[in-house]
Amino acid sequence: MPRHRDCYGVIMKKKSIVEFSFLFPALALFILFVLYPFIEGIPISFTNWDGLSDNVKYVGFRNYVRMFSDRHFVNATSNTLIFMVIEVVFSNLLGLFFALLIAKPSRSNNIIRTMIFTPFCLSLLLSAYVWKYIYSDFFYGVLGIPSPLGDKKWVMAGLANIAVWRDAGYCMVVYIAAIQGISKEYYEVGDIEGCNIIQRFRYITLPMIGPAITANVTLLLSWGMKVFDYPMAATSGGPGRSSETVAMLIYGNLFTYFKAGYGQAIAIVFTISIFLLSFIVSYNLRKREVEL
Amino acid sequence: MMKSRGKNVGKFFHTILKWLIGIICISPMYVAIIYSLKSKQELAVNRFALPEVLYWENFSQGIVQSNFFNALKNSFITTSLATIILTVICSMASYIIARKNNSKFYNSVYFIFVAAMIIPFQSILTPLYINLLRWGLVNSLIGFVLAKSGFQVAFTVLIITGFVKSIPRELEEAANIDGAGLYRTYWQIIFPLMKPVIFTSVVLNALNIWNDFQISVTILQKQSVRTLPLTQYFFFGENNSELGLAFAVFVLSMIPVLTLYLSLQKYIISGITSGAVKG
Amino acid sequence: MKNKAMKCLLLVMAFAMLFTSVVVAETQTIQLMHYMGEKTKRDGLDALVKLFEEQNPGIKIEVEGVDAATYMTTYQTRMTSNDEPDFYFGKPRNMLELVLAGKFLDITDEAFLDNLLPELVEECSVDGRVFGFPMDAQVKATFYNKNLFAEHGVEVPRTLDEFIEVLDYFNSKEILPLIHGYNNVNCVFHELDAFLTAQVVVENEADLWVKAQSGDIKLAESEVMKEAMSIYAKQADYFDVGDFSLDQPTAIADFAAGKRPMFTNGGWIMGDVLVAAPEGTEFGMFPTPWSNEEENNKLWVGIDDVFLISAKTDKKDACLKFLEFLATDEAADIWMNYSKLMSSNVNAKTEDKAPYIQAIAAEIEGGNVVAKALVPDLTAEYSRSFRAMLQSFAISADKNVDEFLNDLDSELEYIRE
Repeated sequence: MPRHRDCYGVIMKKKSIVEFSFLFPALALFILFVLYPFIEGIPISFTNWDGLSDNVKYVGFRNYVRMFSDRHFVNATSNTLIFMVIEVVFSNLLGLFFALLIAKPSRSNNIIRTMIFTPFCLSLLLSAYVWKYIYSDFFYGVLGIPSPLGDKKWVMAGLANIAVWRDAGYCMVVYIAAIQGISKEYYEVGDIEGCNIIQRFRYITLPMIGPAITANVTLLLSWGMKVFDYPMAATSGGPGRSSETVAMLIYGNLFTYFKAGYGQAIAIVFTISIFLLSFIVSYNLRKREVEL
Repeated sequence: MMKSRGKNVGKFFHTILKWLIGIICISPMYVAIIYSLKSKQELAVNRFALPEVLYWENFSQGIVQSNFFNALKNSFITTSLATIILTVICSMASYIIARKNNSKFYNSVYFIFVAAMIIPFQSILTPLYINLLRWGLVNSLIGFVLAKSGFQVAFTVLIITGFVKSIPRELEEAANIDGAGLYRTYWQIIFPLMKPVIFTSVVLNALNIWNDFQISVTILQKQSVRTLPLTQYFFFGENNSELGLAFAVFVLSMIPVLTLYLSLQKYIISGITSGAVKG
Repeated sequence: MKNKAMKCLLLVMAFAMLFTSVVVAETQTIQLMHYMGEKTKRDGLDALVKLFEEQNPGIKIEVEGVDAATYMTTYQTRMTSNDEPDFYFGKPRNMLELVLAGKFLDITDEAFLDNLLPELVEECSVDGRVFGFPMDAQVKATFYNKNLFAEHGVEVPRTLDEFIEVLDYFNSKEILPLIHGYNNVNCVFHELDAFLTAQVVVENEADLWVKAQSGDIKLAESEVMKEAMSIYAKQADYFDVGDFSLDQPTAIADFAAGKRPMFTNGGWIMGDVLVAAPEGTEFGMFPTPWSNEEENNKLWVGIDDVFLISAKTDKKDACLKFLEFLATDEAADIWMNYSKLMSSNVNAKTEDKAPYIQAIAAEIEGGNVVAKALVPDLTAEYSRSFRAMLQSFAISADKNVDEFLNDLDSELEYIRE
């Protein structure tokens, strides 16, 4: 009898090793190049290391405390949040709108879909440069509307516009897929009941694409919070510091201000807050999904 | 009579609107194309107007100065390698995570992947660089491939896991009874069924890796290993007013990416249905 | 017989060892890192390296160009990971923290420095020790479009009052007088630095920035600073809202096309301006006036391209040999031809060079210059914050000088904590 159990144990162990071998390469790559460096960076945040010298002093939580009364941190955080909200809201609204317009599979719809998705194929930096010149040379040069990138109040909106131009295409493609996955039966029932377009959308389409909305909002939220390339390329944080984002502030502290310890501390608080924010948002959206 | 005419008018506006949106979305490319065809003099006088002379030297000079074909080769090698690696290892990892969704271990791994997508690159730049140096991976294409793949693992696993959950388990159970091992079951039965999401992840990863800047600028410093985004950034520098060259190289580097997207686009829709949606 | 054979063999072996050790020992590869964006300069460096390698078989130089916007990151990453090149590039005082951390080799006592203009060597020094080798002399001034001046019968202003007259004159003709590349913080700064340097030297407050950074003085209490900011504000008032988003490359292009007659910036723009300008346009320069006494308006002269040796290099002699080579008249000539800049070499021959280089040489010879070396700038975060605030000031509708200086003082104090 014990033999039988041993045999079973061995087979199960072999099976779980084989199963783990499926996960292992991905996990190893991830730990080596992402998780491990991140953990290595944590101790630095408790020091006053300047990024250069060998003498490093442990300063406990001072970096963390200072952060919250640092006006540059507050400024960067508010800039980042403004950007993120505009990006998430408008990319999704426009993406959904476009998807509704061209969800039906057809030759011309495919072409238009490609046109709308093409911006997403460009790199972030190049998108920023293209738009920098559109704002200056077209909006102002031709139409006489001053470029938002030169105005402290409008610069984050101007930058967010670039992000929306790119990301709306991505959102649209996801929504098209979701819409095409809705079974026709639901719409047939709706037609029988005499629904108009708005009711069709609200009671059939919208609930069925709930998971897609959750996924898109969560993903774009993290993209928006981490924004770095657009302001770096188009404004270098200007005018003044009105387009400086948290990612840029981290970068500056690490490499230009010789305050590596402080920079790492900001990075850790930043990572944790995005995580919490995503968690809260996606939890609420999932609850809504179920209800609908 | 009235009703059908109203419907026709509605359809007409619908068509106009969607074409208008498509054109507006793609119109910013006008800047890139026009600027790439102008000489420095023309760029000084009136940037936005159509070029009077098609200044092809921007392209020829741009290719020479940015070491274009070498960078193209590097971009091509790194993107293909990284995409293949990611496709193989992430599809396998997603499969096992999706199937073992009652195991605490695999669920926590999934959770960590989701959480880590948020880590900003700035915070791990220095430790990562030191490690890469220690392992001899700096200034090597393979170093970049490995580091970038490490970063893309989380996103890829996310997309694919959702899709795998929708594949019925009966197929594997049948294979099990027939005595097939896990590897055979996976590669011969499951993987072929994952085609739509695989194509989706291939396109999304390829786009991301081809356009990568932050990781490549850290690891690939020597001229000989630079990828396309690195050579282009050079032209947009502060004391380097080579707008024409910059946009010419930009236009050229767009071609491979767009070609890839255009050829695989129809797979993306079906792939995303269960993948990125269930995230 | 056996003995003789043995002796022969030993001799041959000895020769072989000597030969290989000589060959092996002499092939050194120096790694040189720089961030020069301009193609002309990179070509010039390649030419110099080639000539040096020909004259010094056994030393090879590997050149690595990095991105100018992120060079500090690259340098620090290399330093932290102990993977340093032998040569660095940049202005020592802009990398003050690195200098003070002992990252660069002290070359104060090298003889070849005597070949170079003392003002430029001085600017490469920190606390009296020299850390950098300056290749050329750069200027900051107000560059002007000669054709536009001639067309309107405007004379080159030599005093502050004359300058304001010229500004007002163009303005009254609906032509904005100055190009403002306000999207770029450095552009914003050059407009001030071009005349402020001369002003603080003449008024004996050359250590203004150093004292402000350490908290020894308050800028709001400095009469010189207040006066300077008023002059700056006046120039910034001739603007168009499009200037706030005008970056350096397009500013240069606009100036070249003759959209506005004047541009206060550094000499590095002239290469591109000359290429992009329509046929027959001529440009000149004059020191940006701040005073009504002509001799106080001196031309800003400073370093541009500077090489530094890493303190950790194990090929010190080879590196110094390269610098020695760069200090020769031959190397200076090559550099001037490629980069179109005034060489740092005291013996530089400018007869056959571009008129722009000759103009600078003339000013230096006439003694009508002020060395940037005398006025060290703010560093690191102080510099970044200051330039960002200056940018805000330049684009604000209501330019209150006292408020600006008070805010600046409190920001510097904030960073000090």
